[in-house]
Amino acid sequence: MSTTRLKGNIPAYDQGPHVGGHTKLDWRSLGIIFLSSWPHIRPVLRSLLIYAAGVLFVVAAFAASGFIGFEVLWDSVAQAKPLSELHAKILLLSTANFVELPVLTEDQRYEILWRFIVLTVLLATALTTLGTVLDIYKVSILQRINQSLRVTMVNHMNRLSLKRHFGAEGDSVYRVFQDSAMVTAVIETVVVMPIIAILRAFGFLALAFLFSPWFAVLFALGLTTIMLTLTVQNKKLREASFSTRRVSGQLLNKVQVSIQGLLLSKAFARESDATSEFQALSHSAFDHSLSLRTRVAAMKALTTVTLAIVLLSTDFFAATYVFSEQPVFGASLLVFFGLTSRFWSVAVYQARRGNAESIQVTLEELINYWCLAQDMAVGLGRTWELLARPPGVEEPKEPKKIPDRIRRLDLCNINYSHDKKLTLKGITLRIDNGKPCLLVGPSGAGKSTLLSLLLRLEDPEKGDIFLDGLSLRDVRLSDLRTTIGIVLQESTVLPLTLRQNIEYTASDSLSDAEMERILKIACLESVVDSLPKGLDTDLGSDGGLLSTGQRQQVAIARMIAADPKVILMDEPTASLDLRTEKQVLNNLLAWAKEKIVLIVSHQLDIVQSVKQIGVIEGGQIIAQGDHRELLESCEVYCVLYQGSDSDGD
Amino acid sequence: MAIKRSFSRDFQTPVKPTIEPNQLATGTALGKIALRTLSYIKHAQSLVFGRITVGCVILVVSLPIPWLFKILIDHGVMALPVLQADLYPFFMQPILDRLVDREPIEVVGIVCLGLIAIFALFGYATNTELHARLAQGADVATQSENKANDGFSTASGLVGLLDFRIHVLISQRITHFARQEIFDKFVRMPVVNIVKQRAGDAVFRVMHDTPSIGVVCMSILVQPIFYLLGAFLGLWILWLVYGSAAPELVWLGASAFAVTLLSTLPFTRFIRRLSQSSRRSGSDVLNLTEEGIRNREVTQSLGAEEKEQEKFREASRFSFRRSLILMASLRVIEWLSEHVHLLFQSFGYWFIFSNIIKGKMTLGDAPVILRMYSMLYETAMQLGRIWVDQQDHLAAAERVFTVLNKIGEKPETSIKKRDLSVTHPPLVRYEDITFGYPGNQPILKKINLTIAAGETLALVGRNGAGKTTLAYLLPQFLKPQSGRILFNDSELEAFRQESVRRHVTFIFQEHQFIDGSVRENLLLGDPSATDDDLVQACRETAAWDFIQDLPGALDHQIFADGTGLSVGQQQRLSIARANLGKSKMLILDEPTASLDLPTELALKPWIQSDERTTLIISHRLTTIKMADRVAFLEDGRIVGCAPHKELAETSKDYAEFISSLTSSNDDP
Repeated sequence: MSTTRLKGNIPAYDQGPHVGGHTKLDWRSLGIIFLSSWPHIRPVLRSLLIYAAGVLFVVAAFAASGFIGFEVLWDSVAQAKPLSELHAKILLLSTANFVELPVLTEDQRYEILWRFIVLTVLLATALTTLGTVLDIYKVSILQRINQSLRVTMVNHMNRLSLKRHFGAEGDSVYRVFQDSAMVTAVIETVVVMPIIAILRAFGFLALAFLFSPWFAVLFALGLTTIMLTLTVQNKKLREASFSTRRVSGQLLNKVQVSIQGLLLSKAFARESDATSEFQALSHSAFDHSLSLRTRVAAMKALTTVTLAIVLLSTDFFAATYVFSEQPVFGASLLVFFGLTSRFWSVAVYQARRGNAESIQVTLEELINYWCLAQDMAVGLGRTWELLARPPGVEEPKEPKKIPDRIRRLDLCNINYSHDKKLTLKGITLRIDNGKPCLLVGPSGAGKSTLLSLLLRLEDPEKGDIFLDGLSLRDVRLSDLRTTIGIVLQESTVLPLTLRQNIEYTASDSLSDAEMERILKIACLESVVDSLPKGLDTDLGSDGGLLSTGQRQQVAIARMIAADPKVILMDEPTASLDLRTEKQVLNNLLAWAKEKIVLIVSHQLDIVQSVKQIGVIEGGQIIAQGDHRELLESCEVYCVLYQGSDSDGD
Repeated sequence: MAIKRSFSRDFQTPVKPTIEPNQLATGTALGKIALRTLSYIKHAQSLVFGRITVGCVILVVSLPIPWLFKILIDHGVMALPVLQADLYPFFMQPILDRLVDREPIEVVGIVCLGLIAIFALFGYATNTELHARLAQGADVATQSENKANDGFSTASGLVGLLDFRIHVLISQRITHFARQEIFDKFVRMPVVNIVKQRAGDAVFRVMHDTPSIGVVCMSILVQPIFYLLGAFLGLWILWLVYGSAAPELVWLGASAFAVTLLSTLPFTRFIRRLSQSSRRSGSDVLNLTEEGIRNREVTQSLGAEEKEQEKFREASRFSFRRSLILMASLRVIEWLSEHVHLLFQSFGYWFIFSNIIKGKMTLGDAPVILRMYSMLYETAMQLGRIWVDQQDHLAAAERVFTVLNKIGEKPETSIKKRDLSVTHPPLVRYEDITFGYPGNQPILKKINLTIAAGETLALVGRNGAGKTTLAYLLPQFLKPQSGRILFNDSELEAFRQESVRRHVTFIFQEHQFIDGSVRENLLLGDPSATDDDLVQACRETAAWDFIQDLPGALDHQIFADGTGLSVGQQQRLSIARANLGKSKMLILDEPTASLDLPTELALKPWIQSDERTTLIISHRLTTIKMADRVAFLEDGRIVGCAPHKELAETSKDYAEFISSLTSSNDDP
């Protein structure tokens, strides 16, 4: 029943700022990819060139050893034809006994055979070793590229401010993973490996050309056929890839939502709905996947078959050349690869086959890269967008130092909008050292937004914030955030031990005495006692062992350990019971006598201990003063505070 | 190394399965998991049968291929006449008969056409690999997509495509069944076992662990059939053809197969260890990224960004180093086995060409035998690798089974149960209710409590007194160990659970939303409600004011974790949603904890309404005072139940308790 409704709420791939959509992988976007990856490739360019040269050498050497083998084994050993001068030299045999004869004796043929086998073993050992080293080298080069990319991505993500980057947590996390994993794959699959494969393909095709220009033409023809089919199929492939991603995104989202909302489906008795929706999506995801994968497989099969036909045609033509004993087209150049015959023979025939098979393998590899790239192209737009997205706030060009002792914090005429709605209007507030300020107001008045501006998670559109006359925009972000400590409404507990959680942002590890003092301020002593391993209890991810209130206490302890000069608190004790709340707040205020303190709250239990209270409503500060003054002058404050009097007591 | 971890421990230790070291148990435990995994093949029986048939056809059709190449060389290029004494297996005889006395060029043409036909249908048959593995990164998402869908065939061409498709279908079907099973299990998880923080773990198991089951089925049960059959056929044909002329070649092939297979064994343990440590550090990096994202509040709010980044850089570097070591070790092992192969090949060359010199064999035999040797070598390598590759998949399968082994709420099948229907506020009575969580002391001891029809009763007590547990018994999230609950004098047990839950609305302490608009979230309370109903329900619960002010109002987008609303707004939305169902029995667990006083007071008429029976759990004095009566729960017993003022006068414990709640501004 709720199926249709639920379908609409899946922000998988077609909503929000993450839309990559159909990125067409044409030459232009290929160019863009190449350009974008250039900064990451440049530092390893030399290594890459060395690797490419190494690969080409190994490939050429393998081809050459193959050619020599066919001539020596097929012509001389098998058919008793004399060796060529070059081959005799390579096998360390005398020209007189092995070259200048009409026919070889049986003993001579055995002699050539064992010598050749020993030579092959030595050569193959050397080349496979070199190949192995090159492979490992390649991986290490790619890793260096990936490391640089990964670090850039994560740094970037950290810098992105909360609002712009994060809508849905789970799904975005998943996407960021996929994207960062993709970027690394893109450079490997779209840039580095294809280039090397293309180099190889060209090498092999050139060799085929030397055997007979017709072979190169035949392969070119086969390749054109494949490319034409691919071009026609590209769009469908991309569409299939896109819809597969969309549906599997939906499926994942469905699972996430169902599991996160288990209590909901229990409370409203919707378990069977969840199951049937899951089933439908799962089927659909698999159907889409199947059609995408079949498409990819079909293209590969087509490639294999086409190239097989080309290969067999060259077999046929080569056979006719052997029958008519035609001269080999590029014999004078093929000598450099160890092929000495000037006329077509069974050895040349077989050598050519080896070359043709290599062409085929390389081209199949290239087509595989092509299909992969088409599939990846769908995610590419998003990926590069993430790399290119500017951080929400900018670092100053010439950062200034924050003074050791801060006397005052000033907010001057601040405007800020969220979703095109002005949420803060002309906020002006001054907070002095040693004079804690409490900001009160109904929910949604803009209190939390104000705090995020103080941390520079966002910048105000108008107005500025000053620390002792120093604009926040002129301070390095990391300096600012070590100067200002904040305790948020919903506190995060890291999946570490309690001790590590508290020490997390402290500059050094804490002495026992310090730790004890902090626990006392945050009223955590009894909590520590109740944990199975005390301070060293692993709180696991999200601190499932602690209650919401206890998590807030941990966050407070963490803030105390960091010892910031400015303290911001957003409903720091909302989830504590009243007695603990009061205790913690009083301890905190006593501890922070020499600091700048701003507390945001709607619970007014500490008003008496605070000299400065600001009332915020509708994004404006409508009154300031102490408790008594406000009671007399501010109606909103009276409602907030005195609400309980109307309780009919 | 205990592989079976108990239910409770599993859920109390909030470790994501990605961090879990893939613990490897003894062979027998692994064997058991493997057996259970293989039982999933029953979901795709006919497909598996089809796949085996197609696979056998491919094997049989591929048999003539090397011999056709021999004909191409001997009777084509070398122009030797076709003779009875030539070394060919029996199945080539009909083809050879047709080639007798033909011109070499004709032979070449016919054979090439024949090969083209075979290739179009089967590719290179047994020497190709057709799969659709798409790019995968270090992330589990792309990996599990590939695991479930990449498919595989040893052939290509049309038949290869068919084979490939059957493979994909089998693994999809198995994955689907496994997913459905584990998803159902999660959905039927008892309320008390639901830990919100473990959602990531659960999603991981449903999405990323299940595809491994299909992989294990295919690679342990189906693929080896073809490997073994292929190796056997290859050796058999070698024996048929060369057994008398050059038996040493057959022995060489057989021992090459055996030695290669054996040579993979010593390294199994080593590779397994390496790959585990590489994977672990890989997932460490992913976890760091995920944590980094989740903890950005902490890092950004306390200036630990640089520290965090440095940590990530290090972890990433470390993981790359691990995977490089793994990769290098694999390559070195491969290098070694390539040399084993090289050794046998060299002997092969010696024997083959010796025989050619002696005139016992022809040139065309060389590629045939070398091709056979390669095939045997490849097959031995694949066979040797199967078990190593399955370790991680089995660990994943085990993570699925751990969940499946747990006890869930059973879907009710009993026809005896009636549907609960409530048209008026019910009278609810707890009679002698005792309840304790498994393995613990009873938390509720012989509770007797009556909630009058239309009454608002506040349930009050210290943390851990059992308030929520007592409330959970009503919608049957928990079942009492003894005693009974009466709903308008009918026993609650007699009703279908689903109908009970539809009539008893429970508002949880933790707010739950789905990704979607405010409207979609509200509609969960009553999918058939109109916009007017929504506005009405929101007005009654004082939520309309803030919803109206949201950008987009009812269309405002919010997310499952509450992003898009402040905590107080989340609470008000939950209440409005519950109100939409117009349920006659309402349970509120700490409904006002995050509300400011004016909002809390605005809810008063709704909470006090006698149109429904209301059970309310609260720590807020203002809220407690709204109730008609207060039940004070201590040490698993109701120590007093009366209107607030009366109870405060008669019960010392209660008076003391509420004095701890009373804040300065509440004092008269």
